[in-house]
Amino acid sequence: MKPIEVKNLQKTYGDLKAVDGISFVVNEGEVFGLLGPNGAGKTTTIEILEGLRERDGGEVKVLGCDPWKDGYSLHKKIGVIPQEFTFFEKTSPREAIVYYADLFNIKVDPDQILRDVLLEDSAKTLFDNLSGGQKQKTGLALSLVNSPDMLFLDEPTTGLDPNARRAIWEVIRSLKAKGKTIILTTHYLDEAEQLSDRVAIMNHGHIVAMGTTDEIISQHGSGERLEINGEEKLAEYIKANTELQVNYDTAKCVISIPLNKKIDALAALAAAEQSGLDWGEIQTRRDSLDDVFINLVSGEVDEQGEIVSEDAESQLSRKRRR
Amino acid sequence: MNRRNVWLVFKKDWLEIKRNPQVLLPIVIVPIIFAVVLPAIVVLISSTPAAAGSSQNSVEGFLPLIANLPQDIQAMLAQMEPNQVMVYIMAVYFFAPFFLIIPIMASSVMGSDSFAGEKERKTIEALLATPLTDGELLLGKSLVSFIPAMAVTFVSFFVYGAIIDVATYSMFNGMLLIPNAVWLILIFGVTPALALCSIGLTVIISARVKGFKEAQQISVVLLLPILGLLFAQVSGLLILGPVVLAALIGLLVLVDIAIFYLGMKVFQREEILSRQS
Repeated sequence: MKPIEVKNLQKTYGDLKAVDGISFVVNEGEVFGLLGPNGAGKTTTIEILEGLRERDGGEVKVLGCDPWKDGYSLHKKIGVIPQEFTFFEKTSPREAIVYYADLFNIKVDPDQILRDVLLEDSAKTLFDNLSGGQKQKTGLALSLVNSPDMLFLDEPTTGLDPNARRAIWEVIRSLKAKGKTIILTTHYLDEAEQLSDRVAIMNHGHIVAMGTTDEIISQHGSGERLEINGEEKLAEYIKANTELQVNYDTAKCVISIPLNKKIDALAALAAAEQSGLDWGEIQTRRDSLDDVFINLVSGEVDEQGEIVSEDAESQLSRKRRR
Repeated sequence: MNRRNVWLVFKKDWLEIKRNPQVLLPIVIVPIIFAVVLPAIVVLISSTPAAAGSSQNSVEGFLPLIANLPQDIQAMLAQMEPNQVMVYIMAVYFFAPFFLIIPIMASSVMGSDSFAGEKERKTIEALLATPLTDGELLLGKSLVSFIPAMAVTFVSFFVYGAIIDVATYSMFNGMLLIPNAVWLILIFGVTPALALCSIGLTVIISARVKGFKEAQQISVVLLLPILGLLFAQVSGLLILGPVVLAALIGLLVLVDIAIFYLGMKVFQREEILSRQS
């Protein structure tokens, strides 16, 4: 039995399908990333797994429990950081840990937990006075109070500065090293790449890609290609004088040539040299997770997880989903 | 339901309230006004040398009320000086409805902070993923509004009664005006039922509003029926005697049951999460 098994999960708000028949499993000890723009259905999915929302259809097992029916006993076994985690503003991280331990009816060493999340220096600072990163570390500390084997981290670094994000990553890596199973939602691609063993990309309530980042890139991205900065005339010359497939991006003035064989690069460069036309920077590259993600969700995602280039109909649908 | 968990929710919310002057000040200041300033008025009247004419005029303002009092009270008042009548009416009847304001005000201020305030601050979401049940959260948070509201009401009553009795002891030849049956039923019967009503409504209001201040402003409408009682008593339309108060308690208990049934429906994990997002 896998720690998490999800089959054909569905959740609807009114006439909107927030989660539309997704299926996946999470293996023991892995970091599983749920990636997608705001409104993709990540948080609804994670809240159903945590037992905070009732599903409309499908089967869900978390540590062998039905999260909705057995939610309260499940909560004793899992750790959770909700999205935009906040706590009582007049409470220090140390007091918060002691309070949580009381709620779980267990004895803990608050100082050890604070050390585990690199927060021992701010143990007695009131929550209100903590930085964004320290607040998220407090959330991490609370999620560890009951020594759970499984953690749900819902966008744990959203809105944090790069240093704070990396500090949180460090803590998550140390938890992974201790064998914790972690479900991480994020709209930061680098975060998913850095931390996750496997990733599921969600969009409009569906999983549009799943696997390791390499598997996703190889399944959904293009292979290796040669890119040459130059004019369209040069692209036409190479196309006319080789048997290569030549694409031209007029906006970026980049000639792109898929490389089926290594020798194709030499043929393309030889043709470019023969043309007598000017050409600039050359490079070979593969699609990154960024490229694949943009293709799959039809747009780029900004710092807040919003898609910045999207058609009007999709934007409207996404706003309604939220 | 785990009583220990209810206690933990209560304790945490109470600590937060104690650290928040915005919540604490009104529930301290208003009872001080009612428990100290109102009896001070009575003290002033009782200590003023009998200005018979002015007292007589003031008593005439209370005649509709006096006319509807029980016969034995009317007979007793008939034996008194106008100054004594005025002090008696004010201390025993006129100020009584003011003490219904205290539990409503205190429980709605604390309830608004505990329910709508927590929604505004988004702190409840972290608690939903603990072993706390929805019922334990609701009860713990309701008690954090109820217990201090009752404590403030009872203390205000004892202070009020003590000041009144000390100030009027010699004027009424050793007779203690407070407590009497009306006040005891009012304080120990009506005010708890009223506070529960206020808390239940605050839970429902908090589910529909964005934050603490909005919830508090809407909760003020609860004071309107109390003002109605005040005017009804002064005009003699309705005297808050033991029978009326017992009927009021019965009515409030029914309303409490209905309101808490509705409150439990809106205070559920998924509802709370949906309202937060």
